[in-house]
Amino acid sequence: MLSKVTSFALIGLNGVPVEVEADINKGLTSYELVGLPDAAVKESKERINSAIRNSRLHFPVNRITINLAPADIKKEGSHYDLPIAIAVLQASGQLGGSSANGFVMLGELALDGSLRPVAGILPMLISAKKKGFARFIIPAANANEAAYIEGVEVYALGSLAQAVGLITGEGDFAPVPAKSFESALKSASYGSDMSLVKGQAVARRALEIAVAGGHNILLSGPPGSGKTMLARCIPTIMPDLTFDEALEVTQIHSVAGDLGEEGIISLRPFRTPHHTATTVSLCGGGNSKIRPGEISKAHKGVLFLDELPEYSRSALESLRQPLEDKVITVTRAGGSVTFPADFMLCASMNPCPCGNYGSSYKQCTCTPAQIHRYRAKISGPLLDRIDLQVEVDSVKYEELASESNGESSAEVKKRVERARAIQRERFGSSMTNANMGEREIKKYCRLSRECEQVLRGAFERLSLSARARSRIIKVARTIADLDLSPEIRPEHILEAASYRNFDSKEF
Amino acid sequence: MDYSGEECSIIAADSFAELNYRQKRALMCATDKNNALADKCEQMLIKSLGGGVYNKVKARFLSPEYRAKIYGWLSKRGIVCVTLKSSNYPSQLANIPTPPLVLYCRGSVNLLSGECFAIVGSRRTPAATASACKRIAGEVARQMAIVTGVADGGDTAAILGALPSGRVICVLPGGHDCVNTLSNAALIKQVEERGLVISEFSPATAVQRYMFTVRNRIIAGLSRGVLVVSAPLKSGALITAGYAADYGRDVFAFPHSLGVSAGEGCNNLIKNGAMLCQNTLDILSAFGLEYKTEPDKLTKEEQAVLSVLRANGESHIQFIASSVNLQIFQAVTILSALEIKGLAVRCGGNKYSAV
Repeated sequence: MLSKVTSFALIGLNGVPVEVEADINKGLTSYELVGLPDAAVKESKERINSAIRNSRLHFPVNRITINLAPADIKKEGSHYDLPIAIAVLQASGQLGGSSANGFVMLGELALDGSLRPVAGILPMLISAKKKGFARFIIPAANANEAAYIEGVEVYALGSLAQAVGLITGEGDFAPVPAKSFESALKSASYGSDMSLVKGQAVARRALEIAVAGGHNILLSGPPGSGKTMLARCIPTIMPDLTFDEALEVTQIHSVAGDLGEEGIISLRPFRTPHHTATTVSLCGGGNSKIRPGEISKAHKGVLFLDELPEYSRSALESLRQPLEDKVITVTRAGGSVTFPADFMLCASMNPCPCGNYGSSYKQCTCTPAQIHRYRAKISGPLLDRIDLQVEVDSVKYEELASESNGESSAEVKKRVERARAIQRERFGSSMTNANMGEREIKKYCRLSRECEQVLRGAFERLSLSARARSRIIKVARTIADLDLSPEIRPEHILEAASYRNFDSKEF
Repeated sequence: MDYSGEECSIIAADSFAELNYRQKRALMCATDKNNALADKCEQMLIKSLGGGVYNKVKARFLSPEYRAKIYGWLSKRGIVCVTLKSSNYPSQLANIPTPPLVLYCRGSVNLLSGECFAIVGSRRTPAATASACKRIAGEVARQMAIVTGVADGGDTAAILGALPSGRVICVLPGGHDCVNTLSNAALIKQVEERGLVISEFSPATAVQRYMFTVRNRIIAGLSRGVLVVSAPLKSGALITAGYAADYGRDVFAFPHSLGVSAGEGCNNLIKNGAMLCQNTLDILSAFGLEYKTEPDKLTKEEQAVLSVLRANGESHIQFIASSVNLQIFQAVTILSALEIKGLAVRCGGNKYSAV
């Protein structure tokens, strides 16, 4: 007898329907699995055999052929266990007259017949819904992930026996109740807050500007000055994720298999890859299954690179294209996959090799040439994409011990959201000031004669390099937005120019 | 470039890297038939070099082919030679005990005929000092060409200050071909285009440690005075100042606050009689030159911030903002404006100082 069950395969973030066909024939006992299965899928035989028997069902002792169609896509992962088991049971006539048609099944089986969670449920569900599938059977542990998708009927079950019961109509099962994103948003909170940061007035202001305009930022300061703490505050002042953004982010983390209990990511991600990270770990890759890298996991959030000059040159240079395009296409022998990578880059570094340049307590022992060499480790093109460069200064003990707190993240966030609203109105999309090209700069950042004069003065006196010009204008635009000023005024230009430490040719 | 007979022989003599300064002079003397000391010089050369070597050197020195090769080689590099016998050899320099035989020049040679003033400093020059140095170099350059070295820190600040006017002379510590090995290569190329870069060493000479000291005598020798902007107790800038004192030039030094190691040498100079330099007027008035300044136009807030800087020295931005009752971002704006006007300078760690 022949049976067919539907499951899904993932290519990047796209789901492709996979037909699981089982055929049981008379003949010598055998079990053949075809259709480009990888090791995890091939091993499913033993799991399925035990799971079926331990669910008080019968594993047929005949010639069994399983085909995963289409046969030209590689089938990876353990989520084919459930559909194969159901197909075998159906083909051997153990489901009575009922058919599993109309269900999409995903799940890994344990030997005792219970269902184990699998990675990538959310993107598979989203693509399946787009392709017209409406009923799903998934492992109970993945229920939270599915709860946020509307208009589908998802059954989160605990075991194979329950799945059989659902199909044959012998049990009473309710689909997963829908959850609202708002409640998830409310219950989640970041660990840090701007009010916990002592001092650092300049860096705070720079962070606010950076987030308001979507600019990338470089924090330079002596060790222990609080660069990491400041960076951790960035997500707390970013506008909340919208539901669509949250789904996008969750899909990526679902594929990567590092989704938590909640099932949806409602907080902006904050990723801190170590400086030994390779190009592949940053950008994504993998032997057969291509996985998202750190920059995709930081999608809609912050990628924090601590000790920027310590990263390998090739890893840093690989960030250049995704910083422009906001997506990354990873091509491997197994195919090519595009992952979103719309992140805000925050980098930190010491000001000089000994770390004490500009410190109030310790004398810097580096020569200008050494400092220059250290800073030159970051290539011009990369620096080009970092609009703000600020110094974080060492905090004095008295400041640390003081009770006075700065503004809280919520207050800063209000201003950021206001500035973002102005930008949405200006560009008519979710574009931010940082993404402006030359054409937009010409259109939206017209400078008065006075501003031009100030800008020219800044270039001459501060020995700025030519590439700093458009960045200063973009940052000035954001400062003007925060100031609710429709046009850029000279003071905006002056402030923007002060956040450009690294462009000065003297250093 | 056409050279006279005397110039030709100096250039040819200077091209022998194996000869030292005295031997080069002796070689010219020995081959000059009109010179009464010719025989004595020849004897001395034979004694120090050995007869065989001397004869070889002499033959090459006199051969027109060898000389043509040298001139071609120099002109291909765009180098103009100013020799001790040239009319445009700076007279100040000719008066020092061992004037360079040839100055290999790239850039506007006529700067050598004007008056010069040297500004030197150590590599580790504090930001505020460097900024003051840059400002003074720019102002002095209107009246005298600025002579300096090629190092980071004080020298670089002096070059940057004087470069816009083009009146800047850099003295290399090696031959012209060594420029690419220096950390400041890009800046020196700009000086070649707009000012003048000179060296007493034949272009292919690689930099060696002792050459810095030898070079410093030219910086001092060319100039009417030397300003030392920063110098720790042991510093090349102090060697230049020492030469300047030996040659009877005026020595100026920036005062530094206590405990700043980069300024101890300067303070020592002042203790020993160097002139204390606070502004351009201090330098120009010593040479009887006039100096006019137009006061900068400042807003009320800029004035307030500037007086806080003047009163407290290097200050953190938070301190500045709270002293004048401003928000941080307003203070940033005003300090940025002051920086552009050249009145304040950023010292690292979000600290600022008045210039």
